[in-house]
Amino acid sequence: MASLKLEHIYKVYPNGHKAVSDFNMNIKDGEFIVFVGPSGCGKSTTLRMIAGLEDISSGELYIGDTLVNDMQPKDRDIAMVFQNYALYPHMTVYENMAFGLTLRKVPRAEIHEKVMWAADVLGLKDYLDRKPKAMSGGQRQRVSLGRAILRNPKVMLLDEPLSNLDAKLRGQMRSMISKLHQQLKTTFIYVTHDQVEAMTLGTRVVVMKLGRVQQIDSPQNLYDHPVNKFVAGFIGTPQMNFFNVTLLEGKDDVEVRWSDCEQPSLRISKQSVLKAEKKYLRGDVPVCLGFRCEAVSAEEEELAKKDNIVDVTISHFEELGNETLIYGDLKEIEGLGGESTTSIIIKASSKMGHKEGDVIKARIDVERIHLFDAKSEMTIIPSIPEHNVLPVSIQNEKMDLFGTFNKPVSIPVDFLKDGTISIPLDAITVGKGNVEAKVLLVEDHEDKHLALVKANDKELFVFVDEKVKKGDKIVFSVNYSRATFKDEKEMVVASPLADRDNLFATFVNLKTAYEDTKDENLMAIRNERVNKVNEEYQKIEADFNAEKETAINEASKKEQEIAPEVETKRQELEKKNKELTEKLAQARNEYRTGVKEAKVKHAQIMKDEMAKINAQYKEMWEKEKLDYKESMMKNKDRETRSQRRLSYSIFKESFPQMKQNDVERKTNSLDFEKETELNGLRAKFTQTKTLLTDQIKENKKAFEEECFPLKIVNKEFAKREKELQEKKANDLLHAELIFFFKFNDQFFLIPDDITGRIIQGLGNKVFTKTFRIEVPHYGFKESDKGLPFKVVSFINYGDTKMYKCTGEIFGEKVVVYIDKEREMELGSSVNLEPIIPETQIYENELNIRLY
Amino acid sequence: MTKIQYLSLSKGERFLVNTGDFFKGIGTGFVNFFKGIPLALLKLWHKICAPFRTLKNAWVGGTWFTRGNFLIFGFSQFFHKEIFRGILYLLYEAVFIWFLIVIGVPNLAKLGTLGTFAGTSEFISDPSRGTTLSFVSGDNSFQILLYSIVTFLFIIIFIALWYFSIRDAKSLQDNIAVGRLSKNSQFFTDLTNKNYHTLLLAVPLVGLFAFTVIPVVFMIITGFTNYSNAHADLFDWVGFDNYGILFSGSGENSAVVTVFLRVLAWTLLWALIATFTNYFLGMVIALLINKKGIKLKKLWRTILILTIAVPQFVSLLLINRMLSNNGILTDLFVKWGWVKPSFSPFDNVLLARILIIVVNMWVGVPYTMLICSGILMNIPEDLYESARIDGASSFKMYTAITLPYMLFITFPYLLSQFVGNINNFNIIYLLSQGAPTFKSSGIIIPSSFGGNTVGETDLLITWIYKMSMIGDDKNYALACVLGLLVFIVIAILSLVFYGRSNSVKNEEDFQ
Amino acid sequence: MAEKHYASKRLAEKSNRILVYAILILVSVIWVLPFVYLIFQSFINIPSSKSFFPEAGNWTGQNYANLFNKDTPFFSWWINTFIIAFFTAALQTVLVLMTSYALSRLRFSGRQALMKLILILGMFPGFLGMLVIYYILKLLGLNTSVFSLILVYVASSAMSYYIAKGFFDTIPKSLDEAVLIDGGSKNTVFWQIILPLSKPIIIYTILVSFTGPWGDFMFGSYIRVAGGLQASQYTVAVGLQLLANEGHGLHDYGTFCAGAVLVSIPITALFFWLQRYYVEGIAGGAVKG
Repeated sequence: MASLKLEHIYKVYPNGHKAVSDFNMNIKDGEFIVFVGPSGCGKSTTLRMIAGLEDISSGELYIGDTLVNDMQPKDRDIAMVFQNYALYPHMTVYENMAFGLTLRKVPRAEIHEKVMWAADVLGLKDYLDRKPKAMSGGQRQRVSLGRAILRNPKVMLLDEPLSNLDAKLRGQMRSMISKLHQQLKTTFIYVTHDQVEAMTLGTRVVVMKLGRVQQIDSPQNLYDHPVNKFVAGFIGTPQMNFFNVTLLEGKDDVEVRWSDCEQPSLRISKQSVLKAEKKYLRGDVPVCLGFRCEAVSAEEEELAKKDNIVDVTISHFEELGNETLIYGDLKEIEGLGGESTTSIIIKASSKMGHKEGDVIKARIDVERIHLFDAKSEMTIIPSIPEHNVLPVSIQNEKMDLFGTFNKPVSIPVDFLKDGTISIPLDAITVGKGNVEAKVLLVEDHEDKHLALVKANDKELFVFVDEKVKKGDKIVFSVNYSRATFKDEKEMVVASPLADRDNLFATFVNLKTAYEDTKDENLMAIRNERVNKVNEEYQKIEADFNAEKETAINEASKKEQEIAPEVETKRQELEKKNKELTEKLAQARNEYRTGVKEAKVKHAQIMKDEMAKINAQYKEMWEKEKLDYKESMMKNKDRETRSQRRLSYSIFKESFPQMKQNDVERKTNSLDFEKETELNGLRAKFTQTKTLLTDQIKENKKAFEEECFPLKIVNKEFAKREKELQEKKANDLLHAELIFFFKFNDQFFLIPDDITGRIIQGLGNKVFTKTFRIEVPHYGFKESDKGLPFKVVSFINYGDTKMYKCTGEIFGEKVVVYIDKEREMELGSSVNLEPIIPETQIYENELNIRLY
Repeated sequence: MTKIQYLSLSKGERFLVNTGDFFKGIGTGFVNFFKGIPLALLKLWHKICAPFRTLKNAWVGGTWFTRGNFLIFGFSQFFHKEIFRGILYLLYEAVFIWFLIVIGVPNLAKLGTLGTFAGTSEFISDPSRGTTLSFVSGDNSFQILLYSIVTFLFIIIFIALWYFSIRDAKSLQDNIAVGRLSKNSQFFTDLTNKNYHTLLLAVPLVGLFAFTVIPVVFMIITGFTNYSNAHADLFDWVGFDNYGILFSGSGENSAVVTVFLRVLAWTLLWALIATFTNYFLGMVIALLINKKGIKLKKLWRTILILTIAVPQFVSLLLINRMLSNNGILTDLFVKWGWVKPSFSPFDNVLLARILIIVVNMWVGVPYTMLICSGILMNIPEDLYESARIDGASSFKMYTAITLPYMLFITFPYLLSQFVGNINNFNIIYLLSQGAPTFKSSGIIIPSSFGGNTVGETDLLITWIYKMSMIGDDKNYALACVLGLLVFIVIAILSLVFYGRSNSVKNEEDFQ
Repeated sequence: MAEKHYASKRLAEKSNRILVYAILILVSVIWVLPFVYLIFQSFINIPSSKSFFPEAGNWTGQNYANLFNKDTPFFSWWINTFIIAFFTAALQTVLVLMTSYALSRLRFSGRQALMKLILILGMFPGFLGMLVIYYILKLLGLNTSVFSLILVYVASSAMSYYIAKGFFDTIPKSLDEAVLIDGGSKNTVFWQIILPLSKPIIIYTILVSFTGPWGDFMFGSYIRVAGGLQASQYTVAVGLQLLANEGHGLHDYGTFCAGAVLVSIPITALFFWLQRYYVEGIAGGAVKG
């Protein structure tokens, strides 16, 4: 039962191909996660990386809260079910399931009990002694499931377990797996390319394509709110209908005009495209309309609503029993209607009397449509929009946005006639600022609250805290430095400053840094950390010794007191232990006799059963022979005689086989009972044995504690002492491990957790790599140790000023913007030091994100 | 020539096109072989200078521990908890140095002249024990050459291990710098996991090197000396003279070149015929046995396995006996008039060669039959059914389905059989010992080339055997020269066929 | 009409089958005849090879008798070869299986290079190296004992990895991964999963490496001459070859036949007992590889 954390997981093959890039996910305990995607999208590679069968190129994988990157598969406490079951052909089902535990030297009784439990859960009771060869695909899959659940692992991994089974069996196995999941509460990670399994099994589904995660969400959200055209197309059968359209904003609704055919355009409410960027609504941007086959219907009562009706020429039908799929096209179909962009699939209850070639009416339910940008294939109505696009005009120092007011100095634009400004949502700070707005509605998404507000006739989205309700009044201010200004011809007039500047550095450890610069305070940092660790341990050691002191003299005092009674205590101990050993011996031969008895009993049962079967079959044989002789005498007609003779020979032929099967089944079940009884006895005996031996140990320990407390105390403290020293050595080593980012000849200390992550990602090749560090504007601080920069120019953003500074790192010109409250004249030089925790760190060559 | 045009051609034309393609293929094969050379050289160059780069930054970037490794193997490993690995490195270094001093240097010194002091032996009369022969052993060139080869091998391994120990030390240093300490026990857990292959391959590889690689290297090198019966103890470098003798054809060795060419021709002819006759007869018999209606399949197969079970040399000696002067079969041949009364069938070349091929079929067919029946069993049945529906006759089915499928699967086996037949020593040696000797047909072969024992049906391999083992001159050096030529011939042929066959290319995805 | 057609088809099939049986019988006769001849020859006492069957008066058990007299110690030959064959079979099987498992399952840097090296080494004529191998044995001081043959055969076992590798390739890789996850190391994979599954190939390798020494006269005769072995130290192959070879004093053709028969019987029996695995090994390994 463990949670799973994957951070920036990359899988890069030696030839540079990235099988999995930047996979981030937090899986809570007990979740059923499904990786789904076309073949070759990296879903199996990710699963194998979690299992440890493939090593992780970079990034961190936590199972529970232990980092398992370098751990062997067997130490990760995970179990895996393979696509081709991977059962050991030469072992019986029992041995197959028990193999994992026998490898880990678990006592036999416990193994037996666990195997029985697993067999019971999976209904494999009477197959335990069979070889995998003799079992069907479904049974074999259940055995491999049993082998996995037997070890009750922290995480269960399933690699397309059902793809080799037939449809009916797949359905049964699906329900069994989900039942198993409810029962065991283990975290399941399931890989499949069949999206039906993904939708039915997963609590959360990860859709992947070409190594990148497209969307992680619950199945229903994936179905209703796909983030892009690929996810929409992949989820749901039959595939979603896609059409090329353009949107035009009308007076009170938005018109959806078909681009590839002359059907009447659809009308959708403004409300539904509220979150879309205005540029899509001007009718010239190609958009892709998508809706599922159940969102369009040709039923009478739907057509009665008269709106959004299209004519469909039917090309063919697919009858699935409870429903029919009508395949048609919005244009006439030439030839066989091959690759047409206007094909449509309609789900209907029945053929409704239509036949191929008819033109019928169908109504599209505009509530359930999806709109994607034709080029980027991303949805244009995301649940949380990136930024607000609003009309704006600027003339002679006046800006008309939220009402006209004088233009903040920082906006470098002087004249703009009905252009647009796009303001990223996180550039708007609510609660401070001079612009009021009325809250129209509030939506909450997991941890964020999105509100649609109206500021003097302009609607925009902002993030608010949960207290804000519909109808409240709020104030907000905009950090214009992050906004983009475009003129009417969509030309960018002023682009925002990239919020992060790139610096390049190498990763260096203390020794090389010190050798290069002989800079004392580098060593000072180290000494300071080492002293800190030493002091800390001095304190711990001090009170450890104090504790030891008190314990020792207390024990020696107790020893003097008890000294006279030691003798009596020892006899008492011996008496008690002797008693116990007797009981143990008695239990042992009781067990032995029990086993002998059981064996005899079972042998007897076996004999009787065999005798019974033999008698039964002998009698059957006699009856048949008699009946045959009699019927031969009775009827003379040739036909029935040859018939009877035939049936008699068949009986004779199949008789031994039938008997043999029966005998075998009988012996199997009897052996089984005997085995379970013997195991029961053995389990009982081992239980009593462990109980008694523990008790003996207990008594001895109690006696020693009582009479010779000193020895025990010394032993215990010696152990703790050793542990403490080990911990101290380890901490000291880590104190020594200080690393720096080297820019030209400046060194900046890297905090420990970040170094851990970088080293985890790249191992010992870390010194040979160059790193790209993206520093946000506010991420610089002035310090004399910083890098020399020259202030070149500045952009005034009203409340903040952005200074453009240039400098040189490793011979490359670097441009950096810093926002500083105080005035800085142009041309002056300033030393800047990046605040590393604020930055994002990438390994430059393969562009792998480390922090 | 598009695919469709090709399909529209008639069978004959298609055959011409195919053979044209085959030779063009060989041509283009050589062309892009040469074109590939610069690329290969570049890759090789990177491969060569990569180690030097690691060495450089190991020295520059390395701590004193890593630098220690340049001199003493495993130096830094001892200090960083990888003691077992360190011991192994150090052990090898010690053994190497001891070997170098005791055996290596003295022999390498003498390598130039391969020993000059011939060693003397004189009689020492000793009152107490009478005259005894005291023998002062001189240089033994064979031993000197062998030891110097072994020393070279040790030196190569030494350099490789030197490089590995330094590379390990550097990566160890980086690991420690990054905070990843290694544990001693890690060496053993790795042995059964990460480097399990070293554990498995250690013993076989040592055996392979000691008893196969060193002899082969020795053989190639002796080709440049004059080691023979005459110079048994002291032989010396002769350079390419041996090759000169073989090909110059001057003086008494004039016949050698013609003999070499004839033997080479016969060897290739023999290998070709033997391989294909065995293969097809084996396949035919396998087909017959596997035919649907035939019962007692196991019986036929067991009878044929009898020949594999009985040791080959017993059956071959027996047949040789039957074909000897007054053997059973010779009487038969005399009765049929193929052979003059008092002569053995091995006297005339053609009959001898046919007999050898027939006997080889007798010995080799059961093996190929087993292989073919193995494959026949797992040819997918539906191929035949679809062919039968298309109305193919059984012969057509054989040529269209069975043959191509079999050829594709057994191509590597066929190739290895071809190579095996070129080196097939037993058949010729036990059966005909080369039979009609060249001398009987008037060609004089110098004793250094095996004298008059060399015969028409000798393969290169048996000729080499006669030159080095039986002939009165026992010229081992010339035999090695011939041995090398045999290798070159086989290498070229298999390279041409091996490269072009696709069954080798998809070895990887076959698993 | 249909009736006729049906009949002719059956007729064609019948005659066809008779033809096949005829050919098979002919083939069997050709393949068995020499051995029958061998057995008969071993019973004649005057080595007249004129008649196929020994005439009435010619039957004698003498050949088998003088197999056991002083100068042809057949029994000690047989024991020597059996010991050699036994140890070679044991050691060679382990080495061959280890090499082929490593080459088939484990991926390591020098793998392709090693396979190419073994292929090339196979192209050299083998016995030219005999001189050197003998010299190496002399260095190790083993050259005077016939059991050094074991070392020679076992040392070259890595060369015959091909067939076993073909077999290991057919075992699916997911078995290895299942064991790694269950808690075993690669060592457990080899010993507890792969070996029990590869019974046919193990028996095939044992069979091939056991019958090897019985048939090798080449190196045996070289050691005999160079190492100066006494009669009792020969192997069966060397001894029989001396018997069959005119030039040699020991020459007695009848005893050779007797010796040959006695050698062939145990090995043939072994072959028939393990025939199923031998066929499976060849079909499974040699072809797929």
